[in-house]
Amino acid sequence: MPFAEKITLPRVRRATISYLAAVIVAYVAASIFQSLCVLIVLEQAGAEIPAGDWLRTLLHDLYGFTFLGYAPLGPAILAGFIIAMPAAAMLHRFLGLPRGFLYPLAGATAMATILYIVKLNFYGVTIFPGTRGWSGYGLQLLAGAFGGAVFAGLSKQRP
Amino acid sequence: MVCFSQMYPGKKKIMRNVIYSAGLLWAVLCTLALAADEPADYQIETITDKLVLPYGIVFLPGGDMLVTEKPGRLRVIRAGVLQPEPIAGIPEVFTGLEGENQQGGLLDIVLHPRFAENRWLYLSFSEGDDKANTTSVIRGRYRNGRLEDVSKIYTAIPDVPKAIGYGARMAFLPDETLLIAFGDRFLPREEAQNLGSSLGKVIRLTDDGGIPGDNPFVDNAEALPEIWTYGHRIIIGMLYDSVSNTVYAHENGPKGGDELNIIERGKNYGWPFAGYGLDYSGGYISPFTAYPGTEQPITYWTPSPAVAGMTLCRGCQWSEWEGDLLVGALAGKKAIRIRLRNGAVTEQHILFEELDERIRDVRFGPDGALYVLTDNVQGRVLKVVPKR
Repeated sequence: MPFAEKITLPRVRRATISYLAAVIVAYVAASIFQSLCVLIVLEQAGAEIPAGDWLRTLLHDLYGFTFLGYAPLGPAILAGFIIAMPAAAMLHRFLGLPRGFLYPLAGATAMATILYIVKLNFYGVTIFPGTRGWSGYGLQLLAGAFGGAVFAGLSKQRP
Repeated sequence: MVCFSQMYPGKKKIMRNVIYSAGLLWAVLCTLALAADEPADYQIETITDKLVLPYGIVFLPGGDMLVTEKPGRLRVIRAGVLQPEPIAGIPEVFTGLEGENQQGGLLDIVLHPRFAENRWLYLSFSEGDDKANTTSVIRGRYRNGRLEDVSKIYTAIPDVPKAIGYGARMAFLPDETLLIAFGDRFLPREEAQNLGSSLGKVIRLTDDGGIPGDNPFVDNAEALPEIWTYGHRIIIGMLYDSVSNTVYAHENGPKGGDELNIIERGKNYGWPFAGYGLDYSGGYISPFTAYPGTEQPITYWTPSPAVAGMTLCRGCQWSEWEGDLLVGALAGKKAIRIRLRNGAVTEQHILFEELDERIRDVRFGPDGALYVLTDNVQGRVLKVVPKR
């Protein structure tokens, strides 16, 4: 089928919904993982944090990481995924690698790139404390992978 | 032509009321804005504009001033003129970042309380490399235009692979012990609560680097015996007031939450368990602004002016400022005069916004004038006196 004939309204709508869902899932996961890492480290250092304050932190950070920070995470993921998902689509088209592998990889790569760029602009240190250490960093990549997996699932063409 | 009042006769009164209300609101807002700013009852003279990132200044008997430059130089200002050659005998420093982003290097300077007799001065500085660097303190005798008998009296632990967050302000107590503040070095910030680490602490040493026997944690096997207080972020201003027998210190918050604290033996100042700022990411550093067992600041600032340097008017040239603290501000590009009554902040006034300069340090000199260091690769020493 010629490429131009593939750009139908249903396809565009499905791609857009898939993209937005992927961004939301990646952002929510990244935010929650980041907040949990910060709280866990505080408790390891001796702070006692009641369950209600854990929840309050998670909810605050969902808002704060996009609207209160020097490197808004939500818009960054929006921008990262708008590059990463089409890149994965091209790799799938030309290399035939499975979607279930490529899209999560693309999402994780987008997150890694975002964190790297942020670090470059802040004296070489991360402003997301939840990413220090390999476990915290890995969770952020996992958040990106979740988003990519959502995109893979929702954007798949139905027979 | 039909005018507005003819088209809508009942609305003319409303429009008039709206205009009057807007004017009244504007007048109130202007008044409030003016009340926060200090009237310009001062005049400013530039002593020198040839310094690179000056950090600390002291005044010697005889009138000379010594100023540290972060790139690693100790400079002399004599009779109002910057001497061309830096003082010899300064150790090699680690500067880390370049230009105005530089946070490390040669940092604070203090004189021994009996400097006129023993010539000891103390310098804090960063040393090491990109992979492992720390903050150290040396003392040396300043004689004949150079530093002699230099010895290192302390090195903070652990090393950190970052070039930020040093703090490193110092202040002598009347018993000739030395307080030194070490920043948390920006992650791992929980080190500020770890009594086995120098980071995020104020330590207290004897004037030759020994451990005073009455430090609060000398009997704690898991604590560094030199620790005086803990739970700090980055202290860039600290002083001892002999009249009130009080140590004041302020510290930078991350995004909001700069604090002014009274430093007392053995206390925990809460970082990062509690604070009034957010992380640079926009998330919580902690869900708490207060935490049991930790001290509250006597005031805090949000958004952060990035307070830096501090001095206290005791017999300064402004008699109406007697007992007031002055702090500089880096990001805020101003100074803040803080009125204290019985240890509480009652007023704050803004100064020097017209300079539009990052202010690194403020010190009242022996002449009662205020000396200001600007944080710039073309740094200035300013002398401020009351307007005649």
